[in-house]
Amino acid sequence: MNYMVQMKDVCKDFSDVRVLDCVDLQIEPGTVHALVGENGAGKSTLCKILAGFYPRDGGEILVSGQRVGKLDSRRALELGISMIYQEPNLAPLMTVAENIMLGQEPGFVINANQSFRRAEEILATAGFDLNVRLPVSHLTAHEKQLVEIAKAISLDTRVLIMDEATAALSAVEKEHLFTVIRKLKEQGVGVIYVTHILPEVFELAEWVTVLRNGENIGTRKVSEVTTDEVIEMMVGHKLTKATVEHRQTGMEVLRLENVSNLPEVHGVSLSLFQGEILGIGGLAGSGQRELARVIFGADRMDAGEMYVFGEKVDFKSPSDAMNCGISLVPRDRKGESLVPEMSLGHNVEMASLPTITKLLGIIDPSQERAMIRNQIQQLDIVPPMSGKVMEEFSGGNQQKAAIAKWLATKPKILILDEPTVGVDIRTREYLYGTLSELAKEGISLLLTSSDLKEVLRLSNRVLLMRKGRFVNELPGDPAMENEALRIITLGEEE
Amino acid sequence: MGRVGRALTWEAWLLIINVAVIALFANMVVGFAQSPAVLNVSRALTILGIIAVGQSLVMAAGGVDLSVGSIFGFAAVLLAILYKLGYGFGIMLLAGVGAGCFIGIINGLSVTKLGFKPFIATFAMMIALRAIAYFTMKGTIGLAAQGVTGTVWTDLVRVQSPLWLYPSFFILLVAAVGGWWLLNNTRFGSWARGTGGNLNAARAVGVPVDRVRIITYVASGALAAVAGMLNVGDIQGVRTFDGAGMELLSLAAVIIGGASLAGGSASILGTLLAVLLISLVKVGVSLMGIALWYQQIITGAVLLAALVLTRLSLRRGIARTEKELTK
Amino acid sequence: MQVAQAGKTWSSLRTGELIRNNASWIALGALVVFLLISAPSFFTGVNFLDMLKSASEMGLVAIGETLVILAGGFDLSVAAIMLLGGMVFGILFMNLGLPVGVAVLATLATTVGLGLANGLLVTKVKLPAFIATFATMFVFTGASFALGEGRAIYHIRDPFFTFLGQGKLGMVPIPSIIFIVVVIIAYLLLSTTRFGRTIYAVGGNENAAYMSGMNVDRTRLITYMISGFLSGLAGLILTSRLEAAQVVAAQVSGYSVTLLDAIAAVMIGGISIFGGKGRMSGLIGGILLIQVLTNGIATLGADSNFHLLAKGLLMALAVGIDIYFGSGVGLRRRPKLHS
Repeated sequence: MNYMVQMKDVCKDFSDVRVLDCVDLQIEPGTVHALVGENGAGKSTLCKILAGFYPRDGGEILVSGQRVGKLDSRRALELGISMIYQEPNLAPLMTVAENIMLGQEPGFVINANQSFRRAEEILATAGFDLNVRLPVSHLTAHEKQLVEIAKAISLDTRVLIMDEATAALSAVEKEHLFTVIRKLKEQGVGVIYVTHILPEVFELAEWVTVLRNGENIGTRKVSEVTTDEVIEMMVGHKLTKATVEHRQTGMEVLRLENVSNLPEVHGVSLSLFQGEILGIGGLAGSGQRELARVIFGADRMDAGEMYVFGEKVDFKSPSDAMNCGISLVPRDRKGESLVPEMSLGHNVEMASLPTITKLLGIIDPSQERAMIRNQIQQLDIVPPMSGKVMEEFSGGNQQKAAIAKWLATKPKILILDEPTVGVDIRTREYLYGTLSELAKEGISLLLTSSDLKEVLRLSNRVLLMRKGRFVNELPGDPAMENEALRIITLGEEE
Repeated sequence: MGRVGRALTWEAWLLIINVAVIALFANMVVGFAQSPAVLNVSRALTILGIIAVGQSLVMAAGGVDLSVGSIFGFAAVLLAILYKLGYGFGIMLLAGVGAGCFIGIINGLSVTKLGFKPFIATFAMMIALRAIAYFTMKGTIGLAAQGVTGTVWTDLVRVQSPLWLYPSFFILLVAAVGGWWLLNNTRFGSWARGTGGNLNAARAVGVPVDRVRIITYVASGALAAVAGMLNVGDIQGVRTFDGAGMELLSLAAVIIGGASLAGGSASILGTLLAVLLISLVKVGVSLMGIALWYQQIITGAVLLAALVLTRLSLRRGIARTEKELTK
Repeated sequence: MQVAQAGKTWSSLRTGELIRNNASWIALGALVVFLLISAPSFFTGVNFLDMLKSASEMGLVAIGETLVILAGGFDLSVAAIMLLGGMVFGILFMNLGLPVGVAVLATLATTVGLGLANGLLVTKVKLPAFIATFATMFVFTGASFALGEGRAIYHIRDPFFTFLGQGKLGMVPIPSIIFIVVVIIAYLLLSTTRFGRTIYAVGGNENAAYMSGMNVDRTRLITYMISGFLSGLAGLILTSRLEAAQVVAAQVSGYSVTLLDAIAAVMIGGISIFGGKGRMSGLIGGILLIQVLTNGIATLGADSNFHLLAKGLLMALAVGIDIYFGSGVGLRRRPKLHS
């Protein structure tokens, strides 16, 4: 078999974490090879290595049977490999034609009309019809995608990698994309198609490879495997059916009715009860972050209504939400939670300054000390030095500090957005314990996560999101993981 | 694909504003429409315009050059020194442009190879060069100011002719047309705008992003040097603080001209129209018979107003270049 | 899968902090030693008092600038506001004959308003601070010329007002007392109040501050207003000292001396121009350093343009230290490609 691309035993480490462990992948010409796996399984990393954006730490790559040494993005292009990302990789202020022709201009002098014509030719070959004179910023996401595909074709791409290509597409656009991909197949192009959406795999691909925790669990012919089998491979254990009772919880503290935060969240309705842990599960990019933000007032609500403790609210900024007792621990602690060059103590007190302020805006040192000490102890932040600069703490402790900051505000409703990302196992377990304690104390928690196992384990109930909408609710039971994955990866047909 | 319809382009608006200002001044200000005033506008336009063309190129590629004012001054100092030593036009030209290019290379290298942000790198150059200019002049001539008369430079700028076109104006035209052509009709221009628009994408398709950026800084440096030397001819002398403030004025002109703050697009035409506006206001106000200080206020206020309007309207997405309206 | 970021080591960050906050004092020490050797005449009592007095004006401006920069902004128009303040007072007091107290208050109100204008341009119109305050610098400088019709206003004398700039409490000049009081207030503000913490948070990580319920725009706006106030106060002191409202700003190589000095003092004082870092202790060292440097240059008979070279070098050094020991804000890292 003449493989276009062969990856053998490819490994990749980030710091001291092994992200890819001896992964094999072979791409046959004229086929679509789907790459699936849960978040963090390593799909994107594998593709980026092939496309030359990351160097590999081990293993071999062969293109058309020839071993490839150093592989950077330029070399990858020369070898006919190109990658299309979720975020379009184009220059927004330049026209479609200019973007397509970038890097392959015929000569020093450019004749605009010639450029337009050539770009139109390329688009026509690919089967698209776009106005080549428009600046790329005026195009829809799908159109930008088409431009990138056309550009890749014009660069003689033989292996096209597409990462979550349908994330921003409507049903019609998706169909169009599939037609395009089939046409590429006919021309002998090999397509690596990364996706979460299993029906797409069965509609489009000849082969499917499942990654889990950086390992290649298996490669199968699509015609010889079922959805359940794929899910099993992704998750690692068989389907079990188990029922769990709901724990008793108190009154409704938060209610959303048809809340939208465009374009990521559409018409979400939910109720949060006192003392419960409500999980929001779903694949990365399903809108959980934006849902958390709109509840917290960090993003404007585009539609719908929100009620806190029975009162209608309209938050214009986070401080409004904080006044109602709502706190949000954002997922990006470096970008949105902590000030890296400030000390631990100053970071921890940052959201609760009003409570320790006396007259004239002066901060009460003894109250301040007490609060900081309390938080450091409660969350076991190590080393317990409040004057130490935040940057110097480990990732796990930084996350603890971020959570401590919000606990110090004594919230009634605490939202946590992907709280255990980038956190070591020990800290993770510690945090799980802390969250349970909080719920027992009567604080209501809203937990978003793309780690289904985790969110099912922690929550009373889990609401599943896909593409900004709620699809289903499950009881909080880790045994339901397969079921959950099934629900969120299957298409609207389900 | 929604179209903006019959909205005017940004350059068209700038043209309209310029015409309005001309009409206003022609009516209200005595002597505006006459020869000396027009010549003054032309001279101011020339000098700032040449610098602004260079700045446009740098900004299109995603950078910024804060050292142009100091390069301007440094070139002037070189000219004074060579004048004192008795050299001729050819050597002066070579030395000035050469110095401008050299400094541009240093700027370009700090940004691409050393990894400094353009703002920081060129700011440091601005200060360093100004000091070097001063001490060079003091060291060789011994003065902080020097008269320079009877050179070709003067003839380039101060021709007493009934026409309001100076040779230096032609130099501006050449620079502007050259810049425009380079930016819009050549591969290099595509590369520059691609680099400014999306560095990663450009690099990925093989655009030599480092080389491209260095070249833009070289162009900016050379043009600033030329402007500095023309200025010597204009005021027939050199003072060590010549050119101070030019960097920010050129930046303002490029922004008002419709360039994107983040890079990826710049309009030479827009920049020139902005420079024209600034020059018109400067000259018109100076003719009003009001004190110098009022001129300064008005100039500053106009600048501010223009910047504010630019930011506010661009946020509403008014069509920015001609290209968006075709087809 | 995300990876836990390992904490940075103690040594590099701590060293950086130590250097940042004390660089100005170290440099000051070195400079004093140098002057002791080369120009002993520098250390006379008269000279010191003189220095202390003129340090106050620049110092007040520098403190205002520090607050603005700490919160993540920048202000090029501070020196222009100072001049305009003096001129406004001159007009109000001399030409319009207002009582001195009213004139002082009105002047300060005006300069606060100017600071507000700057702040609005940066926070509401979202103009880059550098460019916005460059333009306002033009406008304010021109305005001070305009008010005085091109001339300075002389013979400004009044028992209360003149005491402000020329009086002494014992041996200490009043301006210095004012300066010291402001320093103490600023120090307390930054280290003990909620507003001070807010400033550091806003300058250190704007996003995190917003997500913690802080009002980023309002905080910055207030720093610009405080800066306006302090510049106005400096202008009043200057006017009182000279008994005249100045119109021409002292310049060197085209740049205003006060502006240059203030920014140099701020930078070498360890205040990061990227915001969120720096302490009053370092700033004081910076102010003293610049003052001694200025006077030293004059005493040594060196060219006045030497200022630019020396101070420019110091500024460059300061930025270099900041970038090297800081989180690399001034450097463009090889960008993460689509993570």
